[in-house]
Amino acid sequence: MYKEVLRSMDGIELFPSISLILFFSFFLILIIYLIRTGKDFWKEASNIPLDSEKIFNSKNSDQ
Amino acid sequence: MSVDTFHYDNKIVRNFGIATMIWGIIGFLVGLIVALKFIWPDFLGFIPELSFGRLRPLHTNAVIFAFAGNAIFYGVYYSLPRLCKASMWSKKLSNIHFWGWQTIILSAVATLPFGITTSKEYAELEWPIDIAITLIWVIFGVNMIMTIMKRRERHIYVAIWFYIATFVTVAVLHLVNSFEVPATLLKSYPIYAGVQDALVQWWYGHNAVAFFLTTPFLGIMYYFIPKASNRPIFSYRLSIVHFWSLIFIYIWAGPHHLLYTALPGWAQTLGVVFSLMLIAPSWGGMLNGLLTLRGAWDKVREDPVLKFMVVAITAYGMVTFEGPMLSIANVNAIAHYSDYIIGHVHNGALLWNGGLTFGMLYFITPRIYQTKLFSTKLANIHFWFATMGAIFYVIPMYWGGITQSLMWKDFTDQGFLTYPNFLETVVQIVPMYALRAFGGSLFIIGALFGVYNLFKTAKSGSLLSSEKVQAPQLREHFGDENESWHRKLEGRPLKFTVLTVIAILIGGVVEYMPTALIDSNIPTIESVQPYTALEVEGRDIYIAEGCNNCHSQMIRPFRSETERYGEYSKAGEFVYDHPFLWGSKRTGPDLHRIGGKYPDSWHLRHFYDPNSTSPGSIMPAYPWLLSQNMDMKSMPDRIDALRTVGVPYSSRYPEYAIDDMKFQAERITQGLRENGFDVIEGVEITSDKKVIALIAYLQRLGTDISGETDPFEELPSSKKLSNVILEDN
Repeated sequence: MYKEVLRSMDGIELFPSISLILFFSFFLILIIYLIRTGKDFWKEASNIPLDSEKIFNSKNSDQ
Repeated sequence: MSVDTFHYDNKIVRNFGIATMIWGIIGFLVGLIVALKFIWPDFLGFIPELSFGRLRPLHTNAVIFAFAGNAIFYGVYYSLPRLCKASMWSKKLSNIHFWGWQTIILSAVATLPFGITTSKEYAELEWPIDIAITLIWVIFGVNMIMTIMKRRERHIYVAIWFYIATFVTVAVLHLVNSFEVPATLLKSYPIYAGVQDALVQWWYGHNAVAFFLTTPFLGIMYYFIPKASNRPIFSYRLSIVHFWSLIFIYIWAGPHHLLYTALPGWAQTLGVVFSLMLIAPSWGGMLNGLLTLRGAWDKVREDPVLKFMVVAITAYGMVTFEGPMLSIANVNAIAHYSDYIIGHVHNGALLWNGGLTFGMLYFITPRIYQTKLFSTKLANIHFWFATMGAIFYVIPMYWGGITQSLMWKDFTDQGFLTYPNFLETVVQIVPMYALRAFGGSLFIIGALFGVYNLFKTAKSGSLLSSEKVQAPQLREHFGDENESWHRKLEGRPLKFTVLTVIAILIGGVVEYMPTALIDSNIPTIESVQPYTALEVEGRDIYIAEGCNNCHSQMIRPFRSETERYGEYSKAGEFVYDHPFLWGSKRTGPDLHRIGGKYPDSWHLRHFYDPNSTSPGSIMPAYPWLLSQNMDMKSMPDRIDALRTVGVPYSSRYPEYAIDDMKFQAERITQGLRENGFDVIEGVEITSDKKVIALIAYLQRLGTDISGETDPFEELPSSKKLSNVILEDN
């Protein structure tokens, strides 16, 4: 039955191309975003494992 | 700003640590036992529960789900609360998770040696245990996600992303690969058959490696490497690319386990392409781990924790280079079915998973027991035993695997197989099996030093079972509206989880759907018929004894294989195979065209004592097949279940199944008697014995394609029903 449902969908042959484009753009945007944000932007995040012994977390204080 | 006081539960961490060590030692020892059986096939012989075919799945399940599984939870329950600055959401769920998981492992110990298995690699446990795994896994996931929701740290650290991906993907893999119809309380048949079953199984099998043995351990790496070296990860941005590319690409790579098989070519090609791409994220991750130690290599010299972890990451690099290379079709043609793969996976298991696990144990134990490691020297000795053990394991397997594979493919100048007798190629590499057992022993001795060291460490301190911590509350509204999209995503665990699921689903759907939907992918062969009732019983015995652990049923289209085994296997030949039994390793020869190759009496003697027909064989003897009775009573239920999964028996066939079994078994026994095989070494051969059903199954294998005989001819059912198949009488 489910075979029929899928066969009857209009334009199903476009789905693989759409997903390829989606994923390619996702990675492209991700990489551009990471290059643009720069290394320092991630400094706090990357320090989380080392922070955990301290009482105060980095961004969460009332600064 | 108000500061919360809360506690980290170190007791659950300790429990998972103990379970990791105990199951680790048990899993390694079972591994050593099966390794010794390659050298002395009768070692612990003649006890069905301790035979190779039944213990090998126990070994793989014990090291994957018991050792590595508990190690994952050990790492998660330690690092997750600390990264979230929150206690685990529910202590009760943590405890249910712990005891539930141990019960599942015990149920594996209580079923696999007794031949209760589905035969699907790393998914051998039968349906009631599958349901239990699902429940416990969901409990783990709920507890983890809720902890993340209640965190006091705004950013979700990259290690947690890997934990989330592990949870959701393993859930999807386990569910999809476990669609099965129960026939009895402890026996089920998968809804997929043949090629589809193979594709789903290796989509599962490959991604079990990816999302059970890789992603959670990468999470562990991203937490413990910075922790142990006291410096942040080399590049956080690289870890983000690492995460998304790894989870997206990994899920597609499964078909590289099925190259040159009857799987449609396009699916094989997709598997190869994605496997090759996988090297990029894998090596990105490895370099990220290793480069974190820039300027801190002096610490590696002194600290056993870092030693284990550095070797682990290096091994990860080797294995993830090897993986894509092994996926290239013509490399795969040599390595597949050989011991090379056993070497490859142990490189990963012993050093990558083992190394990170022991590194973690040496890191956490002194901390939660508020003391110092009992002996750094002993930990260093453990390190060398583990590393040398792995080397002595892996190199002989590489050497032996390639040697044997090239012997399989060797032709004389006249164009005949140089080694037409499979056994010659086995005997050649037995010394390598001995070296492997030596390497494994070294690894186990090292692990025992480790357990002793950690036990003494715990003894010298006292467990801080509830660690008091303080942290400010997280403000309700986090972040401003101008935040970038990925930043926002990092703060929203549920959306993040959904996106992860989408990423991993696409690969599975694209690969699986066409095989399921387009009939032309599996050309039907008219002469291929379902198994008779006796053959179904024989097949179930084949599964219970784990024959598929050493014998494939898939002849690849190479001249070296068609010369040795006969015509290559076609997709249409497996349409009634629930489950598929293609196998993944040839310790013995392929069996797909074994039907009709030898007389029944040859099989009878061979099962009783393989050396009587094949001198020097390392196949263990199966004397119990001649004395144990086959199961006739449940056959109607099993036929019913097979009908439910799509085998086109007539709706009245279950009524005649037992009559058919008796008739066909008597016919085989009669034939044996006429040839003077009514008694073997004092054991009388009667028609109700398991060996008769197994012979019936083996003699049927691969014969349908010729279309010469009707398997149901003369059976009682064919006299009562105008057509046993398809037609509803």
